[in-house]
Amino acid sequence: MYSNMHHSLASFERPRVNCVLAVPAGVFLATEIGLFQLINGQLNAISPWDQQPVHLVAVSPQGYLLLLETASGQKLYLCNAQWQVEAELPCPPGEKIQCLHSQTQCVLAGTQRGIFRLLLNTDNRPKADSWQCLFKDTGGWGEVLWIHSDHPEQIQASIKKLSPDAKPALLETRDDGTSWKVAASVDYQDLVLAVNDQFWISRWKGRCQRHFTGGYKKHPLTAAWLSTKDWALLEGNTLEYQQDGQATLSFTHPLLAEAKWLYPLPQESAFLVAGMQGAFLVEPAKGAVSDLFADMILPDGLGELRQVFELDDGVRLAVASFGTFRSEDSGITWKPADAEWSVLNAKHLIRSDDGRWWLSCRSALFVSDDNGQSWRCVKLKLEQMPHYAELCGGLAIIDEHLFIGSKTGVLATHLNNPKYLSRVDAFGRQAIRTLSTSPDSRQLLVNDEKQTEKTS
Amino acid sequence: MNTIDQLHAFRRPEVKAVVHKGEDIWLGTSNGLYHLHHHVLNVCGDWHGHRISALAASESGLVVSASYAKETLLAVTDKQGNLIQRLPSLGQDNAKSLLVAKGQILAGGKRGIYQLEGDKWQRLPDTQGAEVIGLTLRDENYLAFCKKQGVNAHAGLLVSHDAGAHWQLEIETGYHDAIIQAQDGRYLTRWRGPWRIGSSIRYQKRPFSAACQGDNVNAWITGNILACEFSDSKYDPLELKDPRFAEAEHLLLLAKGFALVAGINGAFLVNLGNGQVQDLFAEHAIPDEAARVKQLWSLEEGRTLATTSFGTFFSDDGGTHWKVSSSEWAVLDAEGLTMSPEGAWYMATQRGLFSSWDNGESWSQVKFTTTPHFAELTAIAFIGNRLALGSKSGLFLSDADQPKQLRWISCVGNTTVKGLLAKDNSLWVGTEDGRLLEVNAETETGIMRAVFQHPCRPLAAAGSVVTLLSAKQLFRVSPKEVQAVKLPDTVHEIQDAACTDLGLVAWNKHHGWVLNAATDMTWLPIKHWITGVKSISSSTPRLLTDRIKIGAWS
Repeated sequence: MYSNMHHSLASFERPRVNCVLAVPAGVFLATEIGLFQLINGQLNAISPWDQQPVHLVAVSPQGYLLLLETASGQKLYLCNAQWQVEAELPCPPGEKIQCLHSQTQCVLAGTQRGIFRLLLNTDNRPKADSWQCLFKDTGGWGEVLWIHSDHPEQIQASIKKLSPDAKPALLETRDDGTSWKVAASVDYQDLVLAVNDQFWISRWKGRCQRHFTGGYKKHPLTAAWLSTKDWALLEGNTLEYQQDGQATLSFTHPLLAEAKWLYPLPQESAFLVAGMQGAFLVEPAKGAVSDLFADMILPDGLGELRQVFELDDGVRLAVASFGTFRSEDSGITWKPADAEWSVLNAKHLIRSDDGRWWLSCRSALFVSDDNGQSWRCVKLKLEQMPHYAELCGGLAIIDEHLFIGSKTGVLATHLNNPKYLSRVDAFGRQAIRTLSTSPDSRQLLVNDEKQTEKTS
Repeated sequence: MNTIDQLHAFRRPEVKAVVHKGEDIWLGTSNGLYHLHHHVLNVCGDWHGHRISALAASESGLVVSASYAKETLLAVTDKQGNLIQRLPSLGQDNAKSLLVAKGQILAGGKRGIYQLEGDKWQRLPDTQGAEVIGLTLRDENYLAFCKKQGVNAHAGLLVSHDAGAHWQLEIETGYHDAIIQAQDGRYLTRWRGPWRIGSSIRYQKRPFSAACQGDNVNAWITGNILACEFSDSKYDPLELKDPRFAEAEHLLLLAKGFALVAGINGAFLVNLGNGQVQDLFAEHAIPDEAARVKQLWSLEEGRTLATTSFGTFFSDDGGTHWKVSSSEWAVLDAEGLTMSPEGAWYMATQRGLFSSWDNGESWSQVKFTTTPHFAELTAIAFIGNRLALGSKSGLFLSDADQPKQLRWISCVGNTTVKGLLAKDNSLWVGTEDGRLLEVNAETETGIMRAVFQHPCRPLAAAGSVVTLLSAKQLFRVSPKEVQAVKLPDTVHEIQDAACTDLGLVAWNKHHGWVLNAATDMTWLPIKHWITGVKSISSSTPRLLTDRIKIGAWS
């Protein structure tokens, strides 16, 4: 993807793709620099949305819905089939829209707290200024990941956390929101990514038959696609795809990791993969992943530089939404790091005495033994369930042991055999926010409290 | 009686040879010659009913080796497959591979490599005894891929640098460890996988069966996975997984991201970009003789399992209706089937071990490796809660309740195990070198109970008396003596025998009998027996097969 020359970090920036809409009329990408349509492997900007921060797009009865999001708030528009504005719609007051879906006579919005509906009259104008709340979580959670509806009175929604125990759930109503059934309450953080009559795909279990449970995946899935004829999912840096009755395809590439949007283009033997890192056309038969924004003139300030870590000898590691980069000249020029995952959603870094660097990312642990030039994913095997959810609580080393803070306790592994992880019983399954060692390096400090010393 | 479904719709010809020249692809099969062009398969020439064993590209078209009725035929054809010229026969040998190069025609047979000189085939020096399954040109040298060669009958690669005048052994691998690809000092073998001379050998859990090199891409088939490695990519290879790929011996990379996968179960066109698999023989009528029903097995609750060259099927109504088993490998070349103490079926196929927890509806591979490598599995039994696997390298026994951890049993030695029988606490082992051993699974020691001049296979045991088959005769071995079992009147030898719920069943080419052991040790003829039976199911519903059709007996 990138040449071997050194560049400023800004030259690697790519726009965040916030949403992908795939319909018979075309494949559309909502990005922070506007709306694009994918035609013949190229992105074409759609006016009048050029350079606008498009957050969500969805189908509406006579065209599309489009949501802009800036620092000052959200604006929702009803568009015709050519994406021209027909009307501005109000947003549910005090709510932040996370997903949209429309039916013949109304618009459904999932927000951070629940599900809302706006009725439309026959010429697609809102009947009233107000949104009706169809569902709200009693405990103040209820963030909606997606909404789907095949029939007027049936609605399905994937909820990130539901009362009382903050577990993800799939909600279903068949009476237009009068009553809701919790169709599945899965494990902590095991979000339902896609569902149809027979199967669902969840973040930690992958693709299972409904009402059956399966084993855990090695890495959480970040994206999934499910239709009556085919399914696809992204696990770590691997794309898996199968059409009904055909061979299962499995393709691995660093640029696929942490992408949120996945759409198969079987007629072209290709896949669209997009997310915070931009958008890519994947052609497994050629072994090719093409950067769809590569030839575009892009404005500055795209994506997000998350953190810059200091390694040995003045070398720096930059972890950004558009990739991972290394600089040997104090940050003037950068080169992409050679990592199994291009995007490392890294939180913490620690160095062991043998000179290796350990990087805990939200969904994986990476290690480098060449001062950050290359990063390898440690294929973790966790002794007992539940899975770790996120490795975001910090890193610490005592003697030959590496401790990782996760959302379900403190995990420990041996530096000589980092694959095998076990949970440190003393800390239970609490979410770890910080992890460090005491000054004498004999004790672990968890969540800023002194704890009992580590036993081997 | 209901008619037995002969699985016509599922039968596919065996593809024995593939030739790719420019835009043309020819498939030599058990039902003649086919031509593939633009993803469409057409019958080519008039080879209907011929079993083609080898093909090579020639100037005019092809050189073909085929058999029809009991005759063999070597011929040169045009591009449309029409016969132009018959070639002399190979005499006592059969051509398993062909090569046209440097103006010569070479044939690889079961006992050497031959060159056509005038109107005779001459065996080339240094090649006697070699069973040659592939002949190719590498740079200017000839390569002969041997299934067996040398004193140990191991797989090997013979090379000639002087157009066949002399041959040297380039590498030799293990027994049954076929060499699939040889390029630039790198070899791909069935069980070692990718390997170089001098590097350590780590046996694979899944056998490699085919490989192909294209422009900037290297592809291979291992188990049921087709993998493609792109030379400008250092990432993990693209993988496509499908039961129909398993055991395929032919792989071609085609234009526009397609691949041809062909072998014993037919030919498939695979779209590497989206996983679509097109069954090329789906619309072609195939005579039953072009495909084989290899074995019939009785499962529980009146279910019968058929393991065939074109897939694996089960029937709950004595063969009137069959369903496809959902299996990681579509073709299971089953050698033995047994039930574990927990009630799962374990199947030993030649190149793998499979288990089913749903009475044969679905089969998944049980991955294991052994030291030494097992080469090929031949028999299976459970002795207590230990798994016993017979192979061409001897006997392996597992730890209790650990079917994947297997140990080689030295008292049996490095020999082919012909049969296993577990009864009470004894494991009876029959070997290629004629020994019948009683092995103690706990101590892993064995006592030799009898020796025969020919290989022996235990069939049934009652107390300490074992009935076995050796050299077409039946014997009864007791602690005191070995006694020949009297065969039916006027019968001097039998082809095979099996243990069933009715008792011992033995058969020759035309008839089958049940031994009435309970009463008077007489043989009762079996009705509805057919000629040439090769396999029978061991309990009701009673089915039999001659490898082509399925019948019922009672």
